[in-house]
Amino acid sequence: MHADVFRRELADHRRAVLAWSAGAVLLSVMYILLYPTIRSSGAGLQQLLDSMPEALRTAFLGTGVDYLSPSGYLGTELFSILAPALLLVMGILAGSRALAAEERNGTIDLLLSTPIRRRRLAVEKAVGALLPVFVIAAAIWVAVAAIGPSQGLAVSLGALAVALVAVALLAAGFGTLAFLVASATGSSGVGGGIAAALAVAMYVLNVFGALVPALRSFANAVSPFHWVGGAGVLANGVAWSGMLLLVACPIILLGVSILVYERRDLTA
Amino acid sequence: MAASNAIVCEALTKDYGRKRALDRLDLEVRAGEIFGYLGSNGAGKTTTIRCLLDLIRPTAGGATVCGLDSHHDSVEVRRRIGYLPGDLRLYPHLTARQLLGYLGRLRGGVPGQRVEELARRMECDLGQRCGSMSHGQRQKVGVIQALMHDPEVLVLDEPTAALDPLMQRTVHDLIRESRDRGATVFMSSHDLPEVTHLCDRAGILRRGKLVAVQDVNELAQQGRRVLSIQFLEPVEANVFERLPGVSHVISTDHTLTLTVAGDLDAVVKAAARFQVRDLHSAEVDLDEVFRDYYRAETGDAR
Repeated sequence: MHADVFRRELADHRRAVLAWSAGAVLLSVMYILLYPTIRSSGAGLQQLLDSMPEALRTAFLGTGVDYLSPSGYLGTELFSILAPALLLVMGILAGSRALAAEERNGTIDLLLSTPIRRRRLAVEKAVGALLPVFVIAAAIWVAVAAIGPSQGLAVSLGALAVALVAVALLAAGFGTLAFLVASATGSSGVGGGIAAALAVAMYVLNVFGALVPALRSFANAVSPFHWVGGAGVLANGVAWSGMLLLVACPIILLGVSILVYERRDLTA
Repeated sequence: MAASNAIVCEALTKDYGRKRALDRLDLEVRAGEIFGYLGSNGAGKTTTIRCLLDLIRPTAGGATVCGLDSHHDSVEVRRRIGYLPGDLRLYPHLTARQLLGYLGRLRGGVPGQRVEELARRMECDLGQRCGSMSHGQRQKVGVIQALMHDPEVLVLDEPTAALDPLMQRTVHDLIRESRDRGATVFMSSHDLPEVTHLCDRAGILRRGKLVAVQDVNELAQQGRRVLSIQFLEPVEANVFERLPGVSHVISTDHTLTLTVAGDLDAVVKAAARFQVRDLHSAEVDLDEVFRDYYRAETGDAR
């Protein structure tokens, strides 16, 4: 046994991962190529941004972010919506399907008639399903590193890597939540639905946290989107505490998944 | 005792909500025999088998395979088992060869030669995608994956379902060969001729309980007879039920049908007290014996 389930999981989804990576790269390149135009119309745009209510600007741009600077522009365009949304959808879909699909398709009987521990099966499935999220994040990094400088988007590649890892971990966290619920119920629909709903709720909470001062400390503590850092992620970096939480969530959720899955009757 | 039994279920109980699927089931399958597990749909055959593989956990009681606990030593148990699921599903995007390779690697490697040999005998095209296979072709792949690692214990849930008669015979041959090299075979079926033809012993499951275990050969050689006696007046069945060697007494109107082991003396003398119109005796057909149990189960009239 040399991580055969893990390799099978990767092999089964290599085309999907390729397609998602291509899509992510294409969108990233599009934003990169737009940058020179945006920057040249800078004065007017900055005026527009300045005319926005302070709270709203903070909500969507983060604090102290210069939208027209390379890190401000990339942070806003890439990290406030695009990358998190892409990776979250990918992570939640993959996480919810990894084990539950074997049960729904009825192949779990065959798979678990071999001498593999359920614990091991769960770990290999989860890692195999969620690793592609990091592959897609790496594809985005390569796109920015390769094309960014030519368009005047010279950002710290180290900071970019950290930010992308943080977003990938965010997606892996919700993906693992989907995995947990799906493997506990045997239904990928239930797992994906609950994880997606919670992700949207946490995103909204993060936005409201920026808009409503009374909510701020609660939202900042609870919402994983705040842990990542939003639009300011490239300018301000990712806080250590946030990174720690982002790493801890998938690990803890995977641990719980194993405990639940090991005790369950599998549906025939 | 444990050494001579390949599979032992002790008070194995499984509830699904309020429905009791297995009811304190006691079962012993001897090492080296082919044991037929009979029962109608919903009797609990598949539930028993999925407990042995630790896919589901008993509500109470337990089971051992080769002396190993089906739950706590599940990995070791599964290493020794070759399993054919009743509702076999394969990965549609994999070819048979890819699928067998995957399952073989999960078993720590399986000789490719053995797979090729089984494929040849089963007339199975290993290059075909499972998704484009007919039911019968998929079943062949299922049989190959159950046998390819020469397991100590074969657990087969309806192994010949969906196979044509010729292929059924091939599977029967493979099952016998497995037994002959020392493996134990535990197979569920609702095909009576198949069980009487293939199995050494058979158990009948009804509503989660084992209602009978029969030694198929012994039974066939015992010289049992089915006696059908027609009386002028209706006769109570209980007059005959307590007689030595008598079983399966069924009374319908004026006719009494019963199975007798040994000589007929006691039955004939008991019948002589009434007015007998007709008496018919026939060698017992195992199917008949089993059908009696089914009838009791489903409540069918004769």
